[in-house]
This record gives sequence, structure tokens and C-alpha cells, in this order.
Amino acid sequence: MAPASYVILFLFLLTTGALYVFALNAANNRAMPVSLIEIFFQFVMFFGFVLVFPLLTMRLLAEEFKMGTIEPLMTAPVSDWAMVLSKYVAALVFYIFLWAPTALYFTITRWVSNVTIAESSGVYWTAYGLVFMMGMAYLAVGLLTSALTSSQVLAAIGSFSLVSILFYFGLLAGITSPQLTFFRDLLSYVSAAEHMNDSLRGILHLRAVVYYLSVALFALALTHRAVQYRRWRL
Amino acid sequence: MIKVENLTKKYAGVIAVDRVSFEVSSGEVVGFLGPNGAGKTSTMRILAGFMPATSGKVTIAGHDVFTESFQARRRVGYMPENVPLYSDMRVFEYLRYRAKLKGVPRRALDERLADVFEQCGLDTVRNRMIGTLSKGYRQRVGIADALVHAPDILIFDEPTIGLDPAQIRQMRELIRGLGKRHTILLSTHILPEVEATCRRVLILSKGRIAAAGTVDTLVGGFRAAGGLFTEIAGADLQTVEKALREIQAVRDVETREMDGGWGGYTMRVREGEDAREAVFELVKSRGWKLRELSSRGISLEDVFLDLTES
Repeated sequence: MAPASYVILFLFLLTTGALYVFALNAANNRAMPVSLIEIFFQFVMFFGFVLVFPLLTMRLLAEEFKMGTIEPLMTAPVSDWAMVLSKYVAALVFYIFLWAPTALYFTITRWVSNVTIAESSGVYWTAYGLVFMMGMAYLAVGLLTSALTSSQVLAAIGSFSLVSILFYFGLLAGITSPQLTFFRDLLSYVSAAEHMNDSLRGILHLRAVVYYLSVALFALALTHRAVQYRRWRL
Repeated sequence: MIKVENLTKKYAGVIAVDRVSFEVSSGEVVGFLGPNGAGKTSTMRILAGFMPATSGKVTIAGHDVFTESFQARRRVGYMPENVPLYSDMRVFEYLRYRAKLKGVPRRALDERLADVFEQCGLDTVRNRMIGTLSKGYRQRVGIADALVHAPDILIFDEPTIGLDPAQIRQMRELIRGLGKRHTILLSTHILPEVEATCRRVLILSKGRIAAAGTVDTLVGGFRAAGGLFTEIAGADLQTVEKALREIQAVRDVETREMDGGWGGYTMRVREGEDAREAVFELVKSRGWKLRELSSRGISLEDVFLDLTES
């Protein structure tokens, strides 16, 4: 693991840890029928969640192109697909590694108290399942922006913008005129907020899974094209 | 081993490599010589499978580098110019990763790594971060990387660039040692380099092959058109230079001022001719003084300048 990954891991645990404390307080103080897991994930989603993706992906290819290390990499007997997919899987594994400790927060809370964390254990699966699906899609988008430039800064700005658009796009459903039923429905189908609300009630729609998988596959295909394009025009 | 036919590479309209053809047979050490921007790096990158050619055909050990890229890449150990490496990896870690990436089987891994560490003299820096290595060691890590999957063909782009004289000598010895077991194509713009390590030379200029042959034949072909050096006094430098240029066999004169009114003149002489008598006659008829007149052997440097400047 590169030194920078430890920093990202540290910051992620610090942030989610703090948010978890806030969520605990909120769950204690408010007489609301909202579970701890719901409060925590709502907090995380709207406090810096989209920042994780540029941080995890900006280096992946941009740095290789900038430092020239792409040259030994691309002259090894490895296909461009294998290279793109290994980068992607590496980012995804690290993403899981980031999130895994947060599950411990809930375990510890249940161990020391009897706060209602979730209505049923299925909510854990749908909530973490959705976080994983979002990771698949947004990391692929981040990898794509990293393939398009040799500058890490540009890659980070690019992926931050694209992921933000994808993530907040669905909120437009709230301000779309009710007459435009088709667009409203379309926007709510791709709305990250809506997916999150559903998953925290234990629902993971197939359409959400298909949506995130499609975004991931499309972004990966484009990444492969971008890498090949750069090989040709070098 | 390496066969290049009519290789052409264009970048956005600029022709970097222009219909280049050559062959390197098994066990040869060939030097690729040319000024910066002559197309050496482009050609080598195409041979290594880094980028495709615009047109033409390259086969490596019988495999086309474009259609059978993996087979070709497996036979080639390539060290790019300036040796790009991951600076936050340790030497051993990096080479083990490269060996796995290039498909060295697990059971052969330790042996291969031990071999290249010894061959390249890397044992003392085994656990150092690559970012903290000196230029000479970085270069050796690059060579070790090229060697790690035991390829038959080695392609080195500027292996001695940026090294100090002691490191250059070590690198030369390393390459000469490798030449006993591998086919090597190396590029350089430093001429003594080629004379020291290579048996055959390809001179590249403006994307085309300007000359090819063994070091001896290249120099030999130009020897007839050798150089002449003379020291003359008795008139100002310009007058003497002008008079020397008028001699029919003289092609070019370079003048250097010396103490006591003397001038040193280095002349290039046309092929198959001798200007010594004419120079003597000239000095005698003008009543100048002459204290040296000698013919000079031509070096690869002269050949190179001659081919790439015109």
C-alpha cells in the first residue's frame, strides 16, 4: 500500500467515527422513529461521501502517464483490459477495506447498549450492499477521469464533478414539475438519495443494481478506449 | 531476431520514422545512433510494443509486434529512456512485481530474482526505496527489470544517459557481458559508447537510416576521405583559410588561432584525394612558414556528423 492510502484510511475512519458519534447523539436525543443505522448513513452520504472517489482514483492512471511508468507497464505482456480491470479491482478492494471497520461501530454499540440500531439485520445487507454498488459505479467513473489526463489534480476535479452530478442528479426530481411524470420517474430511478432511503428500509431495488452496474460497465469500457487511444496517439 | 520492414510512424502529421528497414540477427549487439529527435525512441517503442506503427511491419523472433503482441513482448526486455520506476516501492518488491507481471512462474521466481540481482549488482540496495537510489542504481534496476523474465532480446533506450564516467564504464561492462547471451539493440547519441559496446551500427537521421554497417566498415569507407592538419604562419588567418579552401581536394577548413602568429587548420579532404602536396606548394609559392602537416584518421564522430548534418 502506498503511504497516501494510510492517510486516506485514517481520514476516512476519523470522519466516519465522528459522524457515528453525532448519529448516536441524535438517536439518543430525538424521540424519532428513526434507527441509528439510518441516521449514520444519511450523515455519511451528505458529508463528504463523494470526496472518497477522487481520492481513491485520481492517481491510478494519471500518475502512470505523468511519470512514464505506463511505458514499462504497457510493454509487459498484459492486455489493456487486464491493466484497467486490475486498477479497478484494486480500488474496489481498498474501498471495501475502508468501509469494513464501520460495521464494527454497530457491533460495539449493540454490545454495550440496547439502542435500536436497525429494525432487522437485513438492513445491514441492503445498506452496505448499496454502498458497494455505488462504489462500483463511482470508482469506475474516477478511473475513467484518471485515464483521460496526466494530471492528478485534473483527474480529481473531473471525478469529483462527475460523481457529484451522478450523486445529486436525482434530487432534481423534487423540483421537477409534477406534470412531467416521465422525467420525475426517471430522475427518481437514478436518485442516489432515493436508493439510500429505500436501502435503509431494507429494500434494494433491482433497477438500482442495474443502474449502478451499467454506470460501472460503461465507465470501464470508456476507460479501456481512453487507454487504447492514448497508446495510439502517443 | 528483429526484422523491421518499411517502418513509418507519424505524429499528427509529423513524420518521426520514415520507411526504416533493418534486421538484427541472433546474438548481435547493434547500436542505434542518431541525434536527438532522429526517431530512435519512436522506433524502439514500436519494437517493444508500446505503440503501434503507422505503417510497416516489425517481427520479433518471428512474431508480429502488432498482431501477436504478447508473444513478441514476452521475448523482449525493454528499458525505456530515463527509466521510469515507481519511486515508493522497494527494489526487491518492484522486481518481484515485474517478474510476476511478465509471467515468470512461481517456482522459478526466486531463482530469476537472485540471478538478476547478482548480474546487475543490486544486492546492496535490495531493500532501499527506489526513490532514494542514485541515477546509476536506477539504471541498473531498469536493466534488471528488462532481464527478469529471461528474454532473448534486449532493447535499451539510452542506457548511459545521465551517468558519470565511472558509472558509464560499469554500464558498458554490464552490457558487454549481456551481449554474450542476448541479442541487444541499444540507442545512444554518444559515439564512443557505440565503438565500445557494439559490433554493428545503424545511423538514424531525420527518421531515416543514413548508414548501416560494422563500426570498421563505416569508418573504413570514410578513411579515404580523411582529414588533414597543418600549422601555417606568415599571413593572417582569413587569407590562409581562403587560400586553403581554393585547393581542389579540400572540402572544408576549420581554423584555430595559435600563439606567435601561427594558425592551426583542420581540413576535410574529398574522398580518394590527397591534398598534402597542394598545401605544401601553396605555402612555398606564398612564402609562408609551415611547421606541421599531417593526415588524421577519421573517427566515427566525423562519419556521424557527416551523415547527419548534410
